[in-house]
Amino acid sequence: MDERQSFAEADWTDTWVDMQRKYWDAWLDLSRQTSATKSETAPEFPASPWSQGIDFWSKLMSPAMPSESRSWMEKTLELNQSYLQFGQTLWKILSLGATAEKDSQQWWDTVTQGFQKMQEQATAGFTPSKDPWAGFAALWGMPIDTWRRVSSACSVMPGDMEKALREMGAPSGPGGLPSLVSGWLSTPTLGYTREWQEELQRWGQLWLEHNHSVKDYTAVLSRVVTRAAELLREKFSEQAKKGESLDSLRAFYNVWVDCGEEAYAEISSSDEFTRAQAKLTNTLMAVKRQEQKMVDEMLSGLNMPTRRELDTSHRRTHQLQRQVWRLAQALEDTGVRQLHEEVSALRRELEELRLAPGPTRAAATAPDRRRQAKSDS
Amino acid sequence: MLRPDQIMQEMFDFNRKIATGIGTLSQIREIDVGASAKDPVYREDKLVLYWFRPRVAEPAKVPVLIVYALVNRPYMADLQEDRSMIRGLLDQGLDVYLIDWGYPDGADRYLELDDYINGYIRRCVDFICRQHNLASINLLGICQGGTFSLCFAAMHPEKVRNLVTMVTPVDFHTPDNVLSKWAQGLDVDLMVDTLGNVPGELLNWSFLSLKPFRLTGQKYVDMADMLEDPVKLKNFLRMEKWIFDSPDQAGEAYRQFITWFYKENRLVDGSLEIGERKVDLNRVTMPVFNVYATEDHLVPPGSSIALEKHVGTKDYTTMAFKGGHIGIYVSGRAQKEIPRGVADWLKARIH
Repeated sequence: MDERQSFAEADWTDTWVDMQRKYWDAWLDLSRQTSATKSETAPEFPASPWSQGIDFWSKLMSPAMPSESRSWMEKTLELNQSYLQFGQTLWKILSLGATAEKDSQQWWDTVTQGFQKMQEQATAGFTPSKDPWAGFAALWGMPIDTWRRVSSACSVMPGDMEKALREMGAPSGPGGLPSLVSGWLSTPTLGYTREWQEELQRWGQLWLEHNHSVKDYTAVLSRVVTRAAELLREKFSEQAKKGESLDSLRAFYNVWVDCGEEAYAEISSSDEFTRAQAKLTNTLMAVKRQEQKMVDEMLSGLNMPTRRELDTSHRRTHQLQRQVWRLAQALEDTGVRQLHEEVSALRRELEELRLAPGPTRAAATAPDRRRQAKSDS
Repeated sequence: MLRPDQIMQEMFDFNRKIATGIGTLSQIREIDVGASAKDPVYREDKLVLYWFRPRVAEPAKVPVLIVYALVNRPYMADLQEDRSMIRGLLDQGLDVYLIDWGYPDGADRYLELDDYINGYIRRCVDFICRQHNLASINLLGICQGGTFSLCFAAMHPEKVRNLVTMVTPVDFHTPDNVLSKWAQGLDVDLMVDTLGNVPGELLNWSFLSLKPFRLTGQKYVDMADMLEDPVKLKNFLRMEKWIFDSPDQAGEAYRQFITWFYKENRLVDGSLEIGERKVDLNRVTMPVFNVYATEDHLVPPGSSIALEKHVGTKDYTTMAFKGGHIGIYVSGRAQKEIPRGVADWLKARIH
């Protein structure tokens, strides 16, 4: 029997925490050593940093961990990725020797320089033609990640198709994948399937346009990183002047988030961002529209219902429903409902009178008899 | 000054909280929402009109109809016992109805604003009027539902006794309206022609993109502090459920709302027509109570405050709530201030 499977479900959390503690203890020792000395290079970071470390333990514990707990933990850690990355970055900066500084101003200077370097490294790796998501995503992950999910949900093609193609060895130099694809897109179409080839080419052109818009969008977003780092430096400088300190990772993280939001608020309301974001959405819709057209062609060929047919059907049903609503409203407005209610009330009254005892009925019907007598005479 | 080993310890504690949180999670099970007893009294297509059972012996004679937005679900107004605007209104002696729009599907894509406002809302109002033998009732619109209520009141003033608008966008072109700026370049025709109904996920992306670092990062870091407390965690998860419980938007209504309101700002420039009826805010002559949130990032205060300039009423009251778009329903202070403020204002005008 696998040793891992011997964990009872009830005590897996204790075991998990215990195993984690041993793991962290080792790194705590390293941290204590590095904080005592000032060095030029950061100590080698764990092969499995925090986020990956948790993932490792989570997988190790998988057989003992209930599936719903596992997925919850994975999701929670995924949502906290930016915090874990931030902790990792700050750990690196401090391990470089900031803690060896005795003077508060020098300490802040070292931390500030560390963040500056981190930001430069992140943006230096940002080459739009290579990976449009790099740079910004390296530090934040959002809202890029959410956009990828939205793209994926709105398209029959996966949202990260471009990434997949790059990983398959598609060229990533200047022009890269787009130039390769655009060559194919400009090839004249021939033969029996030329119409279909044209549709495919049209889809390819639209997809390229969307690809460009993704790059434009991430290029604008990447400025948030630069601006956030500037704001962070300003805030750190203020802290140093006041002689204040941030005494926890969480406090640092909260300041970092504040700076990110402030920078994002400035940039996201600019015309350039607004245009880039609108183009991102519009080009995605154009791709999706073309996909629908092609899917409809295929469905039609298979003699199956198409989106167009369903739309027509829904439109006609709705038109009918509106007519019914209007007629009902017109009847309502003419007072038919009130008349109907009045007639019903009179009928009820008449029925009650018919069932009533003799004298009451006689009294009620007396005028009728009088009328009858008058007409007889 | 912070040391690397402190960071390690903090990270460890953070991860331990997440691990122990799983134990708390197992105690929570299902996330229940909706605190007040209610009965469905009228149904039409996917719409359900609910009547909330009164919590006082003799509720007010003129009922209040709450019109919620098409975006997200109306249970935000009745999230849980100690965070429920509706419960607060019932405790204040009001008789409360609520429109639940349901979840539109593909068959609803051709529903227009005319269908929602001059159709569904009108029929709900007529139903309540008949039930209570009244010619008019009180209307309370929330967010987009407030805009709808405003339009309804302008087109059918004889049916609205008093109008309450909460966090309601009126002027869509105030300088601080980021959503409006984003909408300007959007090809909404292409979007609706392509998608039919607009997916709730797409709207969520827009809303989360307003404050991405707080709403998709920091919030979950803060959550770790609640993991050992089942009550706090459950409250958090209720909010989480509400935020991501986003119905798709009926395509044509979405197209009209984005174009006429966000892009063209027709409500305040006087050019709005819905179902061949002119929406003239000067016809809003009944008493109006406008509640806005000072920290609202979705509906900037300026957008709501603008109402005063455009309505024809002489009985106009504003209430500023110090908080955000969500806090106005669920914060502890909101529970004390909002229902009482609304109820006091209404009671003074229900004759």
